[in-house]
Amino acid sequence: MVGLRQGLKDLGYVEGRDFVLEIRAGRGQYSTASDATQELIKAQVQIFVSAGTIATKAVKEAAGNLPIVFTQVGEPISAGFVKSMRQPGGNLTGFSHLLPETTGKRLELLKELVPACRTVLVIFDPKNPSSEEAVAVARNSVTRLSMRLRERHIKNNNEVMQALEEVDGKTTDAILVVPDSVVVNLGERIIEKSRQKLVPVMFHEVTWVERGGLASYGPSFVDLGRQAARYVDKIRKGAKPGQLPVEQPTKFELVINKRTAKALGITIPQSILVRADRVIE
Amino acid sequence: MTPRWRLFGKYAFFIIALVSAALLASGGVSLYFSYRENQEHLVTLQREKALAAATRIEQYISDIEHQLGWTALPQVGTGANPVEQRRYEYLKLLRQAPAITEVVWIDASGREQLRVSRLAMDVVGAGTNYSKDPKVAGAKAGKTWYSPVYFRKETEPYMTISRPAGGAGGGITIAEVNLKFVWEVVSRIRIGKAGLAYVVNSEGTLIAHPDISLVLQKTDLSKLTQVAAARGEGEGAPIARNLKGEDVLTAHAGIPTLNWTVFVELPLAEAFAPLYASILRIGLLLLAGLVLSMLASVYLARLMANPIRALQQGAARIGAGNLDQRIEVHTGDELEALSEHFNKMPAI
Repeated sequence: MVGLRQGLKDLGYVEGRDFVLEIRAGRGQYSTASDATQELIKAQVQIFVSAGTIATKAVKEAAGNLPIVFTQVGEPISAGFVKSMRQPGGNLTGFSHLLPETTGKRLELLKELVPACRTVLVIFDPKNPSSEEAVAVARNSVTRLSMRLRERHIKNNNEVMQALEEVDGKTTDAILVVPDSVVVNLGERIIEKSRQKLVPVMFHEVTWVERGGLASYGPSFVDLGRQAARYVDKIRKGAKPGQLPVEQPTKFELVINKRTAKALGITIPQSILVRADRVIE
Repeated sequence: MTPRWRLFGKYAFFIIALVSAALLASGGVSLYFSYRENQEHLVTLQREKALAAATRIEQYISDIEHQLGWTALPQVGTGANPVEQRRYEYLKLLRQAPAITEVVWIDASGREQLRVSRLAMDVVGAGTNYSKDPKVAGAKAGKTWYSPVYFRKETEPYMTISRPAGGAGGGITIAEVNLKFVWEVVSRIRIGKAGLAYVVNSEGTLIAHPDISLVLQKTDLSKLTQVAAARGEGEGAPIARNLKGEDVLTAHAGIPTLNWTVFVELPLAEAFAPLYASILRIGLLLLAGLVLSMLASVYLARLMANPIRALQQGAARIGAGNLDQRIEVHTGDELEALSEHFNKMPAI
C-alpha cells in the first residue's frame, strides 16, 4: 500500500485529483475479499490492485474483465492467473514474489542463525497454492540442513491460534512462516509466542522483524507496491494487462532484529551480519 | 504612349531581377549548407550521446566485474578453511553488487566447489565437472568471459560473467548477473525530451530499454533498419523508423567486450526543431532582403530614368522652336554633357 501510493506519486499522480485509492482488507479470507470486490465494482473502480493469492483469486472471480494488477503472488501460473509469465493473456498481470522458491534460503539462514535448531514448525493452509509450494520446497530442503519439518495444517484463525498454543521450547526449535495470508495476519501472536517460549521465528516480511520477529528474508513489498504503480500507470494509458509480462523481484532483503536475538540468547554470526541489509538494534 | 514608364520599367525590371537572383542564389546556398551542417551537427551530437551511453553501460558491467575481482584479493587470517573464506567473500559480494544473483567457484581442475545464491540454498563441494563448459574455458586464458544474454523463467534477462578467481586455490569465479539492473542505468539516460536509449545484443534482441516490459517480452528488433545496419546488414541512415513506427534521428555505439550495441533515438520533430527554426530565420531574412532590394531598385531606376526624361522633354521643346528653355540635368556624367550641348544649340 505504502509502495503503491509512493509509486503513483513518483509517476506524477496526485491523490484526490488524478486518482482515488479505495482500500479494502481481505485478511486472508476469500469471502471477505470477494465481498469487498463486489462493493468496489459498484463503486466503479477502474483498476484493481490485489495483494496475495487468495485476494487475487477473489478479485479475479468477481471483477469480470476489469484489469487487475496483482502483487505478492507466489505461483501465478499454477494459481491460474496467467497463461505464461511473458504473455499473461487475460486481464491480469503483476508481480510474483518468488517466496515459495526461496523457502530453502530462509531455512538455511535460520540454521545459520540458530545452528542447534533441529525441528522447525510450519503452520499453513494446504489449500493455498503458495503455501503448499513453499512447504514442498521446505520438505526438500530440511534434510540437507539436518533439520526436521513439523507440518501443522490449518483452515482459519482459530486453528492457527490452536497450533500456536501447542508450541513449546521442547518439541519446536523454531518456526518458519510461509506466505499464507491466514497465518501472516496473525504475525503479532506468533511473535508473542516466540518471545514467551524463546522460539526463534523466520519471516519473509520486514514488517514483522520491525515488530519484534527475529529475522526476515524476502523481496521488499514496498518495492513491489511501487512496481505495481508502474503497471497501473501503463494500463491507464491504454496497455493491455494480458501483454504486460509478470515481473519478478530483483531485490531481496535480509533483516535481523538484534534485540530479539539477544532476548532469545542468540549470537548473530559474522556470516549473517555481513549480508544483512538492515540490523535493527 | 508614355516612354518614361518604358525606360523606368525596363531599368526597374532588370535591377530587381539581378538583385533578387543574386540574393536568392546566395540565400539558397547558405540555406542548403546550414541545413547540411545542422543535420550533421545533430547526428554527431546523437552519436556522442550513444557513445556516452555505451560508456556508462560498459562502466556498469566493468564495475560488477571489478567487484568480482575483489573477492580474489588475498584474505586476512589465512588459517581458515579456504572454501569457508571464499563463501564469506561471496556473501560480501552479493551484498555489494545487487545485480549478481548467484556466484559459483570452480576450482583449478574445473570442478564446482561452492555456489552462493540469493534464491537457492548454498551448495558446498558439489564437484560437478565444468572444465569443458565455455564459462570455464572462456575464462581460463586469464580473461573475463561474458556469456550471451539469456532469459531466466522466460522473462528475466541474465548474463554470465566469469573470470579467474585468484586467491587460495585459484580456479574461476562465475557470476549470474541480472540485467534488469542495466534497465535502471538506461532509464537514467536522458536524450532530449522524448528521446531514449536502448541496448540490443548481437542477435538484435532487446536487452535494455526504459520500458522494461519490452525487454521481458524478448522483443526482436533485428527488422529495424538501424539495428540491421549496426549488425552489418544494409545501409544505415541517421533518420529511421523506430519500434512504434515514428521517424526518429538515431545513432548507435557498440560495446565490443559484450557484443552489445547501444542505440539512442530522438523523435525527428524534436531533433530538427532547431534546424527548422534556423531555416525559418534564413527565409525571413531573405524575404526582407528581397523587399528592401525591390524598393532600392525602383529608386535606382527612377534616378536613371529621370535625366533621360528631362533630356527628351527638352529636346522636344527645342524641336518645337522654344529655344530659350534650358534643359536642367545635373548628373555629372555624359547625360549632363549632352544636355549642355542641347542648351548651347540655340546660340549657334
